[in-house]
Amino acid sequence: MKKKWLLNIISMLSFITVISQQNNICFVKYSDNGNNWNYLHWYDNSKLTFTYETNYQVFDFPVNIDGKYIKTTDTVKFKKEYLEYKEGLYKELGKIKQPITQREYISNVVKRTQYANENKEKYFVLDTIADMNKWEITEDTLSILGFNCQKAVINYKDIKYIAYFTQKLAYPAGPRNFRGLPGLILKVDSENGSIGYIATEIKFPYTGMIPVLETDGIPISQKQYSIIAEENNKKKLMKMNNFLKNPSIKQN
Amino acid sequence: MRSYFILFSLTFCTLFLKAQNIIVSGTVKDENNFPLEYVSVKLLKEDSIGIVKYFALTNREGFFSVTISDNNQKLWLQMSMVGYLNYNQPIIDLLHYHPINFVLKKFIGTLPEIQVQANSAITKHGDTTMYRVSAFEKGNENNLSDLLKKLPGISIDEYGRASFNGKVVSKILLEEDDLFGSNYAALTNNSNINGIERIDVIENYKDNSRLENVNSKGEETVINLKYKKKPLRLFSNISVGGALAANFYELKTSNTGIINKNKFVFTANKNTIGILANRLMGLTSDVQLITNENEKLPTPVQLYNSPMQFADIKPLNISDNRIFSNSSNLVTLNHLIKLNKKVVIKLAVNSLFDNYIQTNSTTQTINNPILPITLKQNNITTKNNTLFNLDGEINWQPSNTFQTIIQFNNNNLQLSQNRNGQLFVQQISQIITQQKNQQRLNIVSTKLIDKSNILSYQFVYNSFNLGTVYKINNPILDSSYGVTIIYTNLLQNFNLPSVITAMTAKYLIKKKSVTYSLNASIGKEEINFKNSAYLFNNPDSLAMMAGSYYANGKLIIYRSSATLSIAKTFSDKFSCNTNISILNAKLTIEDINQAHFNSTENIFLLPTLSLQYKISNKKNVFVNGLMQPVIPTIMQLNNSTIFSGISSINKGVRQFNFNTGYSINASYLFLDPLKSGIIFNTIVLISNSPPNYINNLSGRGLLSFNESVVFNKKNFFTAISSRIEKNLPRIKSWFIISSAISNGSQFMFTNTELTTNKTVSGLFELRFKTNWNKFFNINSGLIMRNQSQQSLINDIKFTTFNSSDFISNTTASFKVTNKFLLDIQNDCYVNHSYNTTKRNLNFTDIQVKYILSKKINIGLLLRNIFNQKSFSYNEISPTQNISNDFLLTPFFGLLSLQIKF
Repeated sequence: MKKKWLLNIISMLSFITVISQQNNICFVKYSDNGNNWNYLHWYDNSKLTFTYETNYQVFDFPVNIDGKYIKTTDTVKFKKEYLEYKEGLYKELGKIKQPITQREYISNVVKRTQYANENKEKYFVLDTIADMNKWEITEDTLSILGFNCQKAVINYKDIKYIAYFTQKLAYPAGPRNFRGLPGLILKVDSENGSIGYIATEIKFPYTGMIPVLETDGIPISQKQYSIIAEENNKKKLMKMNNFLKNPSIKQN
Repeated sequence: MRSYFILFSLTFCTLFLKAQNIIVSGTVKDENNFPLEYVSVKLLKEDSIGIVKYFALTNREGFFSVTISDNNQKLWLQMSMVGYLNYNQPIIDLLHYHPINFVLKKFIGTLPEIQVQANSAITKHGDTTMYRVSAFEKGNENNLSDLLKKLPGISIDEYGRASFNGKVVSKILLEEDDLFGSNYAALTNNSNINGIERIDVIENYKDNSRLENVNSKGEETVINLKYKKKPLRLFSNISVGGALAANFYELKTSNTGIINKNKFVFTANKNTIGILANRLMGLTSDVQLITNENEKLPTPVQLYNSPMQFADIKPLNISDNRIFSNSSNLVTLNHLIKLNKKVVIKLAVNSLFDNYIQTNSTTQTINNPILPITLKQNNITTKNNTLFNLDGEINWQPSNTFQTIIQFNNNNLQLSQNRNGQLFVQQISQIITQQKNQQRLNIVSTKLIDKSNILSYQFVYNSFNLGTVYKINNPILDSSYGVTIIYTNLLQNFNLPSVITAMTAKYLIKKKSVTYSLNASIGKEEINFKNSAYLFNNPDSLAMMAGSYYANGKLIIYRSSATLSIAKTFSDKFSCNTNISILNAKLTIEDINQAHFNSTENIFLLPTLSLQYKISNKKNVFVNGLMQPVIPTIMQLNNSTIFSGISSINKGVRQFNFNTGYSINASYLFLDPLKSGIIFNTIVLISNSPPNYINNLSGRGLLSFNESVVFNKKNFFTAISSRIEKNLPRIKSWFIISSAISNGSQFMFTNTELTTNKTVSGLFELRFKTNWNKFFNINSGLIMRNQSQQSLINDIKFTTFNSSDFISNTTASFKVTNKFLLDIQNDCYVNHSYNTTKRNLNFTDIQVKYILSKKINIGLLLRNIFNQKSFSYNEISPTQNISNDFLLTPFFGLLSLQIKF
């Protein structure tokens, strides 16, 4: 501590101008309307990288009473069971590698490292998204995390979206694939309420680790990956149904 | 290689006129002629911080194209990209807009740090620290000050003025608009916190409502209040309280409105519980007028005080409501109206009335044995003070390039002070009536010639009148008065009207990172002074006192100055501002009765230097040095004899003397409330305060004479103050240590012998405040003050003394249930002055609040529990020791009903 102060005083007196390596990376965490996921975004001068992290909330949990599983919210009586369940769930969820997505601001091509089949398969997914350049800017403003944001509206694939962007962070991007405004989008909602993201944390300049887009997976288009994903989902659903029918059977 | 210059280039930018539509298109490149893609090209409404009307993003070739549908708009062209400095330019005439090749800059330096998190109590955006009110509000706050005191980094003094980590807060804004100027204590002391959602502290704030600031760097520290959004943004609070017994009551209301184009704050307070209206207004004394200190005037404007006044006895910052019996009224209204895009009007109306009484007995002893004077007095002092203030401002900005601001200020103060008592056994009564009137007009016109050249003119007219009548029944009689008959009354009239007229022209040029400012000012101050004293038995037969008690004259001060200021920003880390000013002061004093005329002039060379070094986003160093002229004041030049009290007489000298003083301060500020939880500042101040004249204290019987003597040796002061606030997150508390140590040498004469007084004083404070939960919190502090002094007569040690005080105050706040709040406050004072016995004083207050509903509270205040009826306090100064015994306000209970909506 003393050393730290001493260094400060020396730097104060010496007046040496140190130009630090400029870091233009901004980290933004968005949460969705359901608050089940956090979307972690890193913006630099030319591109956006994003991934997800689970924000799973345990509202109820199964407990075994006399050989039968029932769902309960009683965390007083079943505190031990609740903590064990929660810990186990988070451990399981943590094992799943989340996709890492990257897109250059001006480009419509989205690149993604996607893991499937419990991380056993790795894909390099390429997708092309439609232009998003018909924004209409309004004069309404909203303060989000202390940033004064201006409202903009777009009709994108027949759905109306309302976004709020800040000029203070001059990235022409936003959560996931929302983009094309003269500042970072901190909040976006679809008019029908099906989609909604809001920034909950901002760090600038960001100095921590950033997930790396791995391009050594099986190259595949989004269309092809959707078919694989659908098949995987069907398998998972089947397993879950079997488990619910007979909970004493250990899942494979 | 370090680059300080903006290096954008707009290689081509064309403007096509097609019926009503205008297309602005171009290409943006960097310094190396590479096109820049993803640049946000925006056309902003009104100014560089306005909202976006049109925009485009540059493509891979750096090309952009924006279509503007209405060509009758005031727009700013702004280009932004992370890593580059914003480019800003007003588009003066869209139809005749000519493309310009710009040279712009890649940003080098440290970008302002941003760390924000939803629902976090404190967040930081570069120079803005934001506090979420709900995280600090406990429900027991009586006004905004109570809330601000809970926010880490913010301190509030006893007058309601705020500072943030050692920096003075110059204004408090209501959602970005300044309604109060420097008089924001009216808000902090009177306004309820109802409706406030967020409090932002903005450092390096630039007032964008002033066109002359377009090219300047923000230097102020301000607080910005953000209110909750709701359909009708009117936040009101009414409180009615009455005593269970005796005549104590308090009625108060505060109303804040943000409605359409109007913002206003209306507060009113009427009480008999010891809260003086002048304290609620943030005034430091009862003779002070209300002026906006933030107004930059081309010449110093003195609002003179009369040498005759009865000072309040208020030691150790003991709260007014423990000392005074009062009846006070305060009404304040601050209103801002944005009439249209061109005109903004501000109005402030303040009305104060204080009627208060203090009872005390005083033993005053002159320390110097050459001058052995001891006075024993018992007095009841009654004051009736009325102050009416009206301030206004019209801000007219017909275009982006021209602005005129007209400010007017009016004050009317009337004081009536009575003191009845005994001097030893002699019955004496004194009456002082005083009137102060002031009117000021300040006009500033600014013309933005182009983006780099600004011209402004300022004109100031200030009219001030001071009139004092001092009447003593049974005065001390002395043969020096030149009368042989014994009179029972003394009457003194003292008038000091003054008029100031000044104007200035300022030309600002910005060239790359350097801003030059040339300033030429001229000013004239004309002060008339008239003093006369009479002795009488019957008001019909006044006997005028000898010649020296009569004066009728005029002092005219002409000031002309030329100032060159250079402000250079070397990088985002280091900036420098230097001024060189030449001031010519010409003084003419005229004795009207004797037709005597004296004149002199003096030239001052006054350099100032200001440096700011930003070590990082958290650490800043400031160094400021300035020289200031010391010009004789009217009271120093008025060689007539003036009674300033029952036993004291002042006299000036008709000799001109000039001097120059300097002041240097250096400060180191560290602000990291989020990560390390440390807020720290240390400030070192060195100054000399050259007294052109010093007092020669001499005595005659019970009278003491203070005569001005020309003197050129300089007083010297050093001070170092530090404050550290440390967050202890594990126990959700803040620990604060602050200290202030000062050392000074001052000169005076006693019986024409040079006396040097060397003073060392220290103040240490330890404070612990918690933010544990909504149910129980404490705020406890211990303050230690020590003062020691050595007096040397002709460099031989003569007297030394030491005085020490301990003050502890603790507040424990309980939320017993969701509806029941309990605050217990204890103040303890211990005073131990030289050669006296230790004296203690202990107060306890209890405040109970019961929340009936969201809008209605019932309160019970029990004040001054367990206190003594009187307190003795010794005040020691180089010349005298004053021992005061004064009566304290007795215990009272106040039941109140509070409604908020």
